[in-house]
Amino acid sequence: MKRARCVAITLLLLLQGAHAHAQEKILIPMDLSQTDHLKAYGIAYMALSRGLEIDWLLNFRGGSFMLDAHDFVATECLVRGVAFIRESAAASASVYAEVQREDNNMDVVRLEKAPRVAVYVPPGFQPWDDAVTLALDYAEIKYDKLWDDEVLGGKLADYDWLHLHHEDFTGQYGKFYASFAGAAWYQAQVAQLEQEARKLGFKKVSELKKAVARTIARYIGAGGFMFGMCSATDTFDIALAAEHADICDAMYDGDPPDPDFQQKLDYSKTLAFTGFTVEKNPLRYEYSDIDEPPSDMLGIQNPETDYFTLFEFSAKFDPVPTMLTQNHVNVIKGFMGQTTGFRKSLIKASVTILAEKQGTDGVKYLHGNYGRGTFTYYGGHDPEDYQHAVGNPPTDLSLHKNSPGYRLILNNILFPAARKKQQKT
Amino acid sequence: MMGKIHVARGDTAKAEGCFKTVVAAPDALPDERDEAVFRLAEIDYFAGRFDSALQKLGGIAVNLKADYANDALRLGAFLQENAGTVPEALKQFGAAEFLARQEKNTEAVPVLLSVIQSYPQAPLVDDALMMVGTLQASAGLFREAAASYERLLAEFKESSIELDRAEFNLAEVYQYGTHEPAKAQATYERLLADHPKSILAGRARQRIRQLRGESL
Repeated sequence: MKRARCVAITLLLLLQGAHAHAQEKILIPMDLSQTDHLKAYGIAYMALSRGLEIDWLLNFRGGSFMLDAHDFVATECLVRGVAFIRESAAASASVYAEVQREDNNMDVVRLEKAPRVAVYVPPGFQPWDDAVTLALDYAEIKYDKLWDDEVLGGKLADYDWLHLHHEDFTGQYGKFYASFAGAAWYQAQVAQLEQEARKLGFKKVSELKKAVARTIARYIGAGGFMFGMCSATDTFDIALAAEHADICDAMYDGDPPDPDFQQKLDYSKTLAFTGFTVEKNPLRYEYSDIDEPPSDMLGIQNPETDYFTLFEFSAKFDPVPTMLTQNHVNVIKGFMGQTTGFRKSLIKASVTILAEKQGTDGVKYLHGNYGRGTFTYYGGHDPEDYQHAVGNPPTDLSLHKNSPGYRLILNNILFPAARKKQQKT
Repeated sequence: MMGKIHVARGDTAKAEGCFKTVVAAPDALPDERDEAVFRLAEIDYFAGRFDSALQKLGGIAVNLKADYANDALRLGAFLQENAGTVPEALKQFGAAEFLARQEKNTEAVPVLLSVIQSYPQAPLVDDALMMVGTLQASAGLFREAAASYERLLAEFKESSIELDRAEFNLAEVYQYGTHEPAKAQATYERLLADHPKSILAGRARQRIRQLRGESL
């Protein structure tokens, strides 16, 4: 009898021990103590892929992650060089209590499943031409590449998240004509795109690109998440607005543009911008007046003073913009692109501005809803290469492990993993 | 260069002659002169002339920008730590290191084991175990090398500054010597857990990736 009681007490203690262990947590801090912010997102993605749930602690130590303590997670953090802290049940409870206090601008968002990620890139693209694929590769987040035939063939439905980077949806081949018309790479690219258009039943590349843009818009409307950078932002909206207008000059599609194309633009079709004026000069390296500052004024930008500022949102009432702006700093060094930023006066009222270049009309980062889905636009080409140019070497992200600019890209990757909760406003 | 060859042949007299020539040469570069002085200090150390060695090392270490400043500081600290407390053990250790410099590893190991056995409280015991492990691994005695590193890790886990290096070397023995990839990976992981800020952490991460068959 005595022995049986001993066994029962031992079992009870063991069970209590097991319970306590189950409550132990791993905290991945995302403040300045983090050794590799970018790979920390990869750890979160890996854990989600392995079926774990993660709590994203908005505004707590730079937007930290908390998850159940599993040895494989700790090991992976060690292997990838990501700083983490094992928190006891009591310590983690204390963190949660702090985050959920009413008088703190913090909140917990539960991440539930790893988003299926697709990147819209042409065949044979160079990874260093795209900051997002650089970030995904560095963070070790898996993604698939899609191009026009897959998009038009309905493949988007297989993905939660689509990324567009510096593509030209207007069909003007990036407006590189004035500078690179004689370059072999440009001519090869034009030939490839024309062949692709013909193969898919379009007479013009511009018509193909508009169809692709409309398909992507429908994907977003049906609940997809889209993230666009650089010229994939303004050209995407221009392509949607120009559904019934030919804006391309003869060197791009073989015939002159509609003389009144500006009047034919339908801004109700666009995601983020309205009232913009499309650039009429086919030789100017600019698509419209959305880009701020315009591409031909980039030379006067001073990298030493080029910074943009993230807005702060209410974590408890506006969790989505809060997620998208999680960072360990709120002032971030600027970077150029064919589309560097967005003119504030041309942004629709329904769109949330996430970051701007203070003292100017330039918005760097914005987010909006479209149908049942959402989109985010981020101006510029490479957050760690101020003036990326054709042929430049790739950015080595192991030298920028704590890049705040790249963090914004990766916030978007995890955002679709969040459990949807009822809006308080 | 010739001086180092003479050391490797065990002829310290000829080696000293070479190094002194460099020190006296008016056109010798500062780094060349520093290296020659350092090698002369090493010869003093091998011969048990610790005061003379320390004097030479001090001359190099005053210029922290010198290429040999770190080596001089490290050897100087080692001599200072042991010369006052266990000079005989240090003398034997120096003799073993001289043997090792001549590639006489199988002769050096028993000397070091003797030091470890005779002076178990000496500050240099962890260094001796480290050197034993390294020499055993060089001689292809991987089981023995692993045992030496394990012993170092077990007996000096609170005191030695060689622990990260010992863990890394142990993992290498498992990876390349005994061909036990699982143990190697576990040991690299232990290094990362125990010494996340070690200078060897980056290499340990690469090795783990390699063992997992990843291409990163």
